[in-house]
Amino acid sequence: MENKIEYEIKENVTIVYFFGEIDSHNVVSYRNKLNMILALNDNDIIFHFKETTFIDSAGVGLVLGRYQQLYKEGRHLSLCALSQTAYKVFELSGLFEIMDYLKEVNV
Amino acid sequence: MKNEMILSFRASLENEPFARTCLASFIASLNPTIDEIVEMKTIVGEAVSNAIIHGYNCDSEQTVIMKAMIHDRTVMVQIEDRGQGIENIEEAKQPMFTSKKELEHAGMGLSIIEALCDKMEIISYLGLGTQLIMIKEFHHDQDRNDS
Repeated sequence: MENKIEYEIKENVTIVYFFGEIDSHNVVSYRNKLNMILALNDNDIIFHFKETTFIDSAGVGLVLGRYQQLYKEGRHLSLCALSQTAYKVFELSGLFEIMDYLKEVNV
Repeated sequence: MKNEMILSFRASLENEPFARTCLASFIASLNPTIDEIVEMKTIVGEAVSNAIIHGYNCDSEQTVIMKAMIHDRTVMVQIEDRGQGIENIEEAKQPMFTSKKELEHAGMGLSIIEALCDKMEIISYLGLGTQLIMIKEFHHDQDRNDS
């Protein structure tokens, strides 16, 4: 599967879909793309990981960095549809203490 | 069953997906679950990126060595670099500790490895390099609950 990001702008929320793998090799280009998407409007954000096959601590850093950026702007970031291992990795990193987790998106 | 492999590759982050995929193929004979494969790939990915980013400061002229052994249903993986070494191993193991904060590193690599494998050991010496040894047990097909 190709590694890529797609997004969909709904009324009050922007959903970002991650396809393929997120690792230290591609986080830098993902960070730039995400910053571009986040700057489009002041929507709340959902990161959707249903099509993500691999995510490591570089991905945790990527999510945490965007969270801090959005938090400063008073915007909300939720995470959705992580695989079992990715959920463990995120839980261990304490991400669910500051972000909401959704099993699926209903908007 | 016994099996063994050694792989050496340039310390470039481009090779990290290659290394973890390679190990995933090596353990295929154990008939692991999808979750076990993803866990193994995560462990190897974290260890290899540590060797490249922290051991070698991303100097792609250097070499990372991955050794793996299978004995029955136990897998041992060793990731070795001849880079700068870890100054304080206990500090490096702390969750959220990172020596490269400006790069948005979460500082969770070693904690993730520790949580996903059964045993982890670090041998490191300043100026000589680091060996990260990880052991993971794979469940027998029959004890598996298909949840």
